[in-house]
Amino acid sequence: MSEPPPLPVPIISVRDLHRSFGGVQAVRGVSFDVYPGQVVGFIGANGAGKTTTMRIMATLDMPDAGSIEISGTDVVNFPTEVRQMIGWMPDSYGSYEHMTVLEYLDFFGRAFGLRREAREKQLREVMEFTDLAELATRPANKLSKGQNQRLCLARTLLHDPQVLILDEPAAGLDPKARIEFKNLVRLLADRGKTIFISSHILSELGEMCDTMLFIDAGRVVHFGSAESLRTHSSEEALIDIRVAGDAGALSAWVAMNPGIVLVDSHREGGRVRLDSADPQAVAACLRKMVADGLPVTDFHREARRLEDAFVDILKAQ
Amino acid sequence: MNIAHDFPDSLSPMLVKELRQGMRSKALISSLFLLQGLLILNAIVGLAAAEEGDLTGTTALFWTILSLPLLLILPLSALGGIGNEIKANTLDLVFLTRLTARRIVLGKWIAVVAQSVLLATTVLPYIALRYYLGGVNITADLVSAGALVVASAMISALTVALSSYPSKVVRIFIGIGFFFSLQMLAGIGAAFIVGGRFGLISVWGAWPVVSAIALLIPLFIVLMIEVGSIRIAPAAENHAGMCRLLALLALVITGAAGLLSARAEWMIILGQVMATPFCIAALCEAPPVVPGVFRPLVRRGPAGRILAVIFTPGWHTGVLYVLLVWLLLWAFWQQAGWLDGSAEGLRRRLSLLGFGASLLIPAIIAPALSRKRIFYYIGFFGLSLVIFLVTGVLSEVGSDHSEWINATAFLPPLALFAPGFESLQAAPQLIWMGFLVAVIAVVYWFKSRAAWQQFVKLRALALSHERQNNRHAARN
Repeated sequence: MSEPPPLPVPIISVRDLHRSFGGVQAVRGVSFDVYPGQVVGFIGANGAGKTTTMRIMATLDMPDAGSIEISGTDVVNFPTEVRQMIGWMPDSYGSYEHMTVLEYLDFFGRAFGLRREAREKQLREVMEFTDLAELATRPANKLSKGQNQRLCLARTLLHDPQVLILDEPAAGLDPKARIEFKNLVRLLADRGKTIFISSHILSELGEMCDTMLFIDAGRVVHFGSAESLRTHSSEEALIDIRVAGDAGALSAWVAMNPGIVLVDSHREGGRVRLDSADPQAVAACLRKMVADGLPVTDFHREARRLEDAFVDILKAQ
Repeated sequence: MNIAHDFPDSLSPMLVKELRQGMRSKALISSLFLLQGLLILNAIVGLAAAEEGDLTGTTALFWTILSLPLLLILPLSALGGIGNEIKANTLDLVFLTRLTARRIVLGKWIAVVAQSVLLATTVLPYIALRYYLGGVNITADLVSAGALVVASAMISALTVALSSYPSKVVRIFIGIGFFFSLQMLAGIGAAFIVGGRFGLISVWGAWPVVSAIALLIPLFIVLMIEVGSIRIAPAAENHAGMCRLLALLALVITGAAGLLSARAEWMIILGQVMATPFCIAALCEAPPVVPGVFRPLVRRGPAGRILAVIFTPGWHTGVLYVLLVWLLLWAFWQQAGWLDGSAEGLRRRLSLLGFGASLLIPAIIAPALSRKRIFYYIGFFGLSLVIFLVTGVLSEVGSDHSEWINATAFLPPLALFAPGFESLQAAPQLIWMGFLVAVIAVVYWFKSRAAWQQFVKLRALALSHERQNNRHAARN
C-alpha cells in the first residue's frame, strides 16, 4: 500500500497575531496559512489591519503577541533570513533624487548581493518583465504613478523571492496601468510565486486571486477560495434582468412575488435573488414574469460579486 | 546596459548609491564652486600681500574658507540623510535587502567623507601656491588640512548618527548637547595645552595621550555609526550593547592614558564625559522583547551569556553597566591619587558618588512611574531636575548649613557644589548614603524583577535557537 502524499507545508503561517498602537487594537488574533503557489487577496476597509499585518509579515514591524513564519522561519527572530525569501511592495514609498531608473535598480541589485554578471542579467530580465527598458535613463523620481509601481515591482523581483507581499499595488493607477499591473501579477502567479496582495478593488482581486482573506476590525472574517465566495450558497440564485420600458415595473413585480428579492436596480432593470438555485425554479420565475406581462428583454444568471460577498460576510458578523 | 561597471562590486552598495546621489547634490557642487571661487580670491589677495611681505591675513582667511565646507556645509548636508529616508518610506525598502542598519549608516558616512576628501584635494594647488609665496611651512599646512578632514569625518559621523532621529527637535537638542560637550572637551584640551592646573604641558609630546587620541578618533566614529544604527535596526539586532562596549573601551583608553602620562590625568575626565551620555542612554532603554538580541552574545558560550547581563539593552542591565563604569572610574581616580584622605580627596569622593547617584536615582525611579519608553527619558531628566531643585532649596533654607550638606551632599546636584562646603563630616554621610543605597537597591529589585524574568526567558530562547541553527548547519 502506497503512503498518502505528505500534507503541504504552509509557506506563510500566521498565528494569533496581535498588534496595537496606543489604545487602538489594529490586529486582534489574526491566524491563517498560505500554501506555496497560492495567490491570496487580502481585503478589508481602511484601518481594518491589512497594512499592519503585512508590515509584520515583511519584518518591518513587531507584533505585540503571536507569530508569523515564512517557510518555517520566524519573522521576528530571524528577520534577515526572512528578508531573503520575501518581496515587499508598500502602498506608498518615495524615490531617490539624482538617480536614474537603471541606477535605482542597480543599487538594489547590489544590496541584494547580486554580483556583476548576475546583476546585469537580473536587471535585464526584470526591466523587460515590467516594461521599463525604455525608461532606463529616466530619473527615478520623475516617473508617472504607473511607471513608479512597475519600478517598485521590478525592485521587488530583483532577488527572485518565493513570496510576494503587495500592499495596495493598484491604488491610484489609471485603468490602463491597472490592467497592465494585473497582467503582471497573473504572469507572476503563473511562474509559481506565492502572492499575498491587498486591495480595495474587489473585482480586480477576484480576477487575480484564487483565495480571499477578509479582515475587519483586526479580525479575520473569512478565509476561503474566491470560487466558494461567488457560488456562496447553493440555496440561492442571482439573476440579472432587463426589461423594456419602465424599469420600475421590475421592482413592482418583485414586490408582489414572495421568495424573490431585488438586490439592486439599474437603468434597464435590476438584479434579483431567488431563494432557490434549482434550475426548475429559475425557469418557473422567468415563465411567471412573462405570464404577468413583464416585458423581459434579458434574463441571465450571475455569479455573486465579491463586493456582495464581502458585505454579506460583514453583515453576518 | 553597463551601469554595473561605474563602481566596482567591492564597494558597499550604500556607498555607491550615496556617491551617485551625493556627487550630483547641490551641497557638493555649490561647496566646490564656492570653495574654488573664494580660494581664487584669496590667492589674488595673497599675491598682493606677498609683495608687502605679510601673509597673516590671507592665512587666516585660507583656513576659514577651507573649514566652511568641511566642518559645516558637508556635515550639515548629512543631517537629513537617514531621517529623510525614513520620512520618504525608502528606508524600509533598503532594509529588506541584505544591508544591515550598520552598513546603511556606514555607507552614508563614508560618502560624506569621500566628498570631504574630494574637496580637500582640490585645495592642494592653493597650498602649493602659499608655499611658493613664502613664509609657509608646507608640512604644517598639509597636517592642518589632514586634521580638518579628520575633524570633518568626526562631525559627519555625529550628524549622520543624528540624522536617524526623525524629529528635528530631538536632533537639535542632541546636537546642542554634543556641541557643548565638544566645547567643554575643547576647553579642557586647550587648558591643558596652554597650561592649566596640571601645569604647562605639550599634549603632543606625551605618547600615551597621542596614542589614546589616535584610538579615540576611530572609536568615536564607530560609536556614532552604532548610535545611528540603534534607531533604524530591527528589534532583533543589539546595537545598544555595542555602544556600551565602545563607551567602556573609550573610558579604559582614556583612563590608561591618564594614568600612564603623569601630567595628563585630565584624560580620565575626558573618558568620563564620553561615557556619560551612553550611561544615560543605557538607563533609559526599554528591555528587549525578542531573543534575537541575545544571539551574538550566547553564541560566545558561557562568557557571552554572562556578558549579556551588562551588554543587552534595557534599563535593568543599564544599572549594572553604570555600576561597572562607576567602579572603573573609582579605580582610575584612586590610582591617580585623587581620593586621598585630605579634604580635597573627600570632596572628590563626594563628587564621584554624586556622579553615580545622579545617574542611578532618577533612572531607577523613572521606569517605576510609566512603562512608556519615551517616559524613561522624560522621567530621567524630569526627576534629575526635581532632585536638583529640592536639594538646592533644602541646602539654602537649612538653618544649619552643614547638617543639610551632611544629609544630602551625596545627592546629584549638591555633589557638584560639594567643593564649596567646608564642614563635612564623614559618619552621618555614610549613614545617609547607606540608607539611600538600600532604598535604591530595594526599588531596583522590585521594579526590575519582571525585566530580569523576561531576560532569563529570552536568553534561554536565544540559546535554544542557536542550538537549533547549529544542528541545522551540521545536517547540511
